[in-house]
Amino acid sequence: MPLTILLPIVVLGIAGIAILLHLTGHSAPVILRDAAQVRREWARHFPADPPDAVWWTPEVALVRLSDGFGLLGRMGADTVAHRLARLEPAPGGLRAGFADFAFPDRHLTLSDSQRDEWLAQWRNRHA
Amino acid sequence: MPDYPAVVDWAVPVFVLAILMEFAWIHLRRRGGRYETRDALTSLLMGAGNVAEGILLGFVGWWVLMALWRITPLDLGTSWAVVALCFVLDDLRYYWVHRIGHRSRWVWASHVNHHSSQHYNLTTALRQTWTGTITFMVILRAPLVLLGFHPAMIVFVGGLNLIYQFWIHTEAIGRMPRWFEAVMNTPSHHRVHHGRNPRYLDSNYAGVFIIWDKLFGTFVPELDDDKPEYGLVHNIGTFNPLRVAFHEWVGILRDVSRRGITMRHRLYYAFAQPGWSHDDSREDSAAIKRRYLAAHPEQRGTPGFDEP
Repeated sequence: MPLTILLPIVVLGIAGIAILLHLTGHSAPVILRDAAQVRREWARHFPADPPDAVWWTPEVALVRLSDGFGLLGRMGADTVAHRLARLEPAPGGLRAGFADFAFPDRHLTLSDSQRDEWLAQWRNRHA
Repeated sequence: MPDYPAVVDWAVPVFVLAILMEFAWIHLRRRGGRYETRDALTSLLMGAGNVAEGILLGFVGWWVLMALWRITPLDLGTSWAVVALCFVLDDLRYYWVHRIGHRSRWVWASHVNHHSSQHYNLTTALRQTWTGTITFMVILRAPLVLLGFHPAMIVFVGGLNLIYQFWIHTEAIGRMPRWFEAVMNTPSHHRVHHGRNPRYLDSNYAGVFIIWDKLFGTFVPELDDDKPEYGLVHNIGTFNPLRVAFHEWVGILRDVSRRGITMRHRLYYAFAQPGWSHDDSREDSAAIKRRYLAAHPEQRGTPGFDEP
């Protein structure tokens, strides 16, 4: 097939499908509603690493483990989880680092009290 | 040189149409799968990138195959019987490339992106590698050329193989008739392959004919009480196509350049099974199955947990 035909089909096809999905409500992100959901989702990703405690917002959860911390976050309509390598103050919340090219650093939007509590938990373990 | 159509290019409009039909079915019926905008967009961009990589680097594999063609004394011709035989043997070739792709990190680094979605729909089929050329798996096509199948025919049947595999990336189809499930790769068999459940790891590598898995002991049926959960053992946290395409290569680079490990360790980090580590700090699929069986001993001996 000539590129002059193939290229428009590819471009219009990708754009058309993406727009259709968005307009029909398939861009809605997952919402974390309670601790049970956070624990369930964490177990889905790390079944051998049960949390000691969890703190969460509708967007993200901090998970305390026996030997460190993890973060449960949004991945579109699904969740994704990773062990935390770094947690630092950032404007409007915290910045979480994972030391993994497949898992870029994330900005966590938190209230002041949430930020202070999450940071205190992290620093208690890493003092 | 025999002239065969670029079948994958011609299939692109069919792919787009089929995705729209599957989406409409799922959206209207509220069952048969899930779609998410960014996930689907990433998959589609990976597919476009795969086509671009073929245009840019496809000549490398083609050059290798043509070099072999020039030295082989055999020429089986271009009859349709030969094309059919080539299709079957190429599918056997695909089985082994695919199996190596899950058992050696060097090839897994290329293939991992295909498994990196937590969704399973027709767009997942198009989430293809951008780095297939540098795995050098083209070498597994060498026996076909040396047996007398023309490289153009091999590329043609490889395209047909890829097109066949498109429609099996769906949850909208339950199971096909029993005779079909027995011989052919199907949505049910391939859902198992994409499952991250311990039971389903390293199974169902088939492209077109599921008989290869049955022959070589890697077949696991889809169980109604163990619904496949899609994605990677450790799911990636990005929709960025560049990170999706290259993340495992970056992981290999970081591991082989570690300080304080031996040359053997570096080679193992590059070529051993995914999850291998010099200090046992990671789990490969066998370790994941062992851990699961330790927690669920009643599952020992059931499909996917046959090995001691």
